[in-house]
Amino acid sequence: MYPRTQILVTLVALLGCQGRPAPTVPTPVAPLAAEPQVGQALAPAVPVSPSAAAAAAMAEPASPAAEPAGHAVLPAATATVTDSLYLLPAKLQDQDGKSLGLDGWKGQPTLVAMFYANCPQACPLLIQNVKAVLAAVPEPARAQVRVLLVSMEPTEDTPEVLRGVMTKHGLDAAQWRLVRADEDTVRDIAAVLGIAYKKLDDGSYNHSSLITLLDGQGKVAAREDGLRPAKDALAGVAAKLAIPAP
Amino acid sequence: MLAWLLPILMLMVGVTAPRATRPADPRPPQVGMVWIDGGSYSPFYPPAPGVSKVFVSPFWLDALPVTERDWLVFVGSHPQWQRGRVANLFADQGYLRHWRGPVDPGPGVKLLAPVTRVSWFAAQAYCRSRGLRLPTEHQWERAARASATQEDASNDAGFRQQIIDWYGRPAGDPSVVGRAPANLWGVKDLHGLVWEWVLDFNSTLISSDNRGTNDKDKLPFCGAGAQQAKDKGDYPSFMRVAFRTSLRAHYTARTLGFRCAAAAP
Repeated sequence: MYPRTQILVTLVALLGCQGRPAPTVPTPVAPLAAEPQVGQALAPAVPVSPSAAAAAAMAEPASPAAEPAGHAVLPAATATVTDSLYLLPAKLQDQDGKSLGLDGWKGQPTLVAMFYANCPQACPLLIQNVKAVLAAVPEPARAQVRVLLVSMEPTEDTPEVLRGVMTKHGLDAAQWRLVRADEDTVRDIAAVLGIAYKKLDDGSYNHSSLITLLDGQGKVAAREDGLRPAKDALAGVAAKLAIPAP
Repeated sequence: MLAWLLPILMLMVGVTAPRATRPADPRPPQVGMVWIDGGSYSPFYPPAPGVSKVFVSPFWLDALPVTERDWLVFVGSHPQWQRGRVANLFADQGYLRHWRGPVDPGPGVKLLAPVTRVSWFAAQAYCRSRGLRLPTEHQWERAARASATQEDASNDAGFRQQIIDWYGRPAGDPSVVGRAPANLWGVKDLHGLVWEWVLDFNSTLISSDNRGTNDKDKLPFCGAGAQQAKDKGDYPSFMRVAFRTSLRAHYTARTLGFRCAAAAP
């Protein structure tokens, strides 16, 4: 017979488990071959001298595994814009299911923001604010400005859901694209935009709201608080980007 | 009596115990990684109102930070990560600045010291090249709360003070890895050598949806966050949260390195 106290302790321990949040499902390590590789070749590579590499490898207690096939070193590029967001390899899918990169609106000034469809307050306000910024851009520049809204919810926000958001807010597909991406890509995009976010247990997100204006080459031209943007200032920068200097 | 009582009790309370212990035949995805049992810990900022703990599934973690020597091998096989070839978007101008050349650390660099002045993008690329990823903040913090004898020593005054003492010392060039005693899991140097990147370094926000924020720059730092903190005496955790929220993904620092992790199968 076990002492009564031990049974009581066991009971308490078991009941205690009930309140514990469900363990998170381990995220599988993404297959490398399918991963876009961040990094842009800007200058010729310098080979590591065989002796240095050998010395390093010999002293290596845990030799890294061979790189899976499919990884290709990017060729040297002539790019001079090294802070363009369009350097980020990102596989996106828009509201019509079409594939694109982050540079889907390349060549045109683009307002970029992150959101998720099920967001109760901040995201509808963010979308309204982007519309207000657009409206503040004088014609004919306004017609050149584009919008890219990136969903931070990789599973729920399907193209169909994104189309629903387009309809709900009356967004014109000629000017707006709503896109989704896998979890790693979302993280990369948030990183280059400087957006903080976190998924909560109830499926909602804590996130900062930012509107970033990119020039035609993907460089950040201006950033504003997405919930209280200085819309006229942002629209002014967009107008200047849209109209080439005489 | 307990033998027949237990299954009934478990059914009654609906317990499905997560696998939280080391498997019988552990095969780390890479040599040099150690197993961290699944378990709960209390983050500095509670995950939700009324919830103080977060369950972290079991995972593998590098026992040591990635070293300068590891990085030398990496840039040999991944030349796009050599200094001078990385776009500003992915690493600032400080990237590997302490090295003599793009593939030459030079005599002043200790090859067995943790590699520093690498950005989050660079650290991610390194881990991905090994089929791994950066540890999440929860994974890192779970591992970092272990002392040599306790799974969670964050309330141990001596353990806490040791970390605070390190934070109080001026940072010089980091020493070599592996000198400090291992913690309960066999992990070394989580404290006392360098700060470390985590996968979701940009996940700390203090209020839902951030509406009502007058100044976006105040968001990660002020007021409400301190009110939410569960254990305001956990200064080491607070320091790490503050440090992480100050980072951008392309930042580099002489005191910032990293290690890699993998989810347990």
